[in-house]
Amino acid sequence: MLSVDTTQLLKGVLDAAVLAVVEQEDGYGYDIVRRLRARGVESGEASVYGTLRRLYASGSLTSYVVPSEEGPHRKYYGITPHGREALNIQRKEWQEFAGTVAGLLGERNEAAR
Amino acid sequence: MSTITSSDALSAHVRGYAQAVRLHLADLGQDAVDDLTDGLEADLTEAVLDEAAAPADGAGTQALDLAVRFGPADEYATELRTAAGLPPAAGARAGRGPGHAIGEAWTVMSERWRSFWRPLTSTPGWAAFVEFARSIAPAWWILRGWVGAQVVMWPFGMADVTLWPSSTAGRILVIAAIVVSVQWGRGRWIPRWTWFPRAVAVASVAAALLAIPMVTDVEADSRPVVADYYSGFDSGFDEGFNNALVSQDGAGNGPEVDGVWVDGMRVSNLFAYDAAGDPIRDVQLFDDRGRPVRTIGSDATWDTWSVPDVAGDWSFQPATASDGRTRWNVYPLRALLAEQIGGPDGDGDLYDLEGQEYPVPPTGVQPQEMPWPFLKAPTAIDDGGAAGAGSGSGTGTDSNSDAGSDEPGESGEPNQGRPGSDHPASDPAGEPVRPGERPTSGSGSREPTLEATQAD
Repeated sequence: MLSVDTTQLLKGVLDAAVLAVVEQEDGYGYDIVRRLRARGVESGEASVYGTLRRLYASGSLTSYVVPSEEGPHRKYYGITPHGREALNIQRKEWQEFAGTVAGLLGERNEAAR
Repeated sequence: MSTITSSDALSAHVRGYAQAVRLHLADLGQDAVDDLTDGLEADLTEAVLDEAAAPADGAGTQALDLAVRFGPADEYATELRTAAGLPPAAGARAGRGPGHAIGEAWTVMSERWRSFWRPLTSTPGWAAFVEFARSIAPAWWILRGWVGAQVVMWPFGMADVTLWPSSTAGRILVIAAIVVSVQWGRGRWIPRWTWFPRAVAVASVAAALLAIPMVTDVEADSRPVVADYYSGFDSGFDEGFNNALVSQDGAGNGPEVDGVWVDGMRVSNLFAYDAAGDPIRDVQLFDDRGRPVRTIGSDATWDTWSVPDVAGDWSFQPATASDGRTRWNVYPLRALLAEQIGGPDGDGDLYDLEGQEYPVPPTGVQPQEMPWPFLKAPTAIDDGGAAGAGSGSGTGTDSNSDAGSDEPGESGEPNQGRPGSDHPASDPAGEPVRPGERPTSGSGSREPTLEATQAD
């Protein structure tokens, strides 16, 4: 479980996290929240829903409605080629960033020893 | 899992929460709200059921308070809108509660209002107009203060709107209100409550709207003062009110309007009594220039009047002179009930009456006499002892006036002055009636110039 501070960190990468989850498999709003949580990413539900709308609006996601036997119809999201591209870019950026930060933090840790 | 009842309750709670979230997004417009919250109920329900399923028991009911589970609806809405990359809600999220909601609604509304007028307000002409309006703002502050004072005085019976009140308290109030209004206009003396500027803005708009009728009223105050505004002569009074304005403002140049006023009230009918206090019928009245005195002006012949002690609306009828012309200066005027008005065929169809000078009674209907205010005038005129030789001193008493104010009816109807009876009070031959002198029928020595014939 992430603390409040890491929730702040997460905000910068929520787009990538949501895209990554949807890339694995199409899903609807709460389903994506659940899968993020299963991977240890605890984000506000409303944040996830809002992110889904925004990614859809920017063309990274596509959506379709799946009729449900019981309960309401569900709006599923799938990733688009544009979204895949964006995800790849964000992956690279994140890895570079994480490496830089890890290097920085690691150095200090070593220096502290 | 949940029973049917609790799932019903859950869906009701979910709907309510989702609706609250939508309300907080309402400024985005319906389409955006629909897009953002499409499927929100399903997601919320699933989240609640997910959670309820995980703990062992009793959690389902606990989770029914959705604000505990998801946070306050407005925060949820903010999170949704921020994550979706939409602009934050209009209005500072200073606090919550009804005041906050009102402030938010105000901001949204005023922003919409501003954007509606933006095509106009962004023009250079508008800027010039604003500059001009700013320069006359002090005049508006004074007017605003005056209007505010009038509003404050209203419930204290000082309802008669005047430019400068007659009472000291009213004057102090007007001055104080103007000073406060001007100070507010200059940005001084403004309390620090955050809602206060808005309240002043609303009050100013109200004052601007109120100023119009108030100023009109003050303008109209240059006429005879209204004493007994609502007693009786409603329609006729209002009519006369306006007529008086016309005649005053016109100062003789306007349309000619006849009318007699007593104590600020328009008079519909006149009742003459001789020196002894006895009623006189069919008196012709003229002013000092020989003009007929008319209570019912030529423009008011179709008005209906209410009459003291008699039910119904009445239309007054002129007398007819011997030459066949109508005479409106012969008193008391007879009257017709408004319901009786109709064309000569009596079917009450007003179209028959088009072009008529006054409401003509249908065939067979006679205009009625109106009740006299007194059977006998409360005072007798002592004119060298010559008054009323036949009726003694004729001093009026209270009992007489009391009797007269009651409905005289048929028995109480004064008939002393009935034409053709022993004492015709007016001289049909045109002989002037002087106090103490009671002309007898047919005694006129002059050539009859005008004869008021009666429909009686």
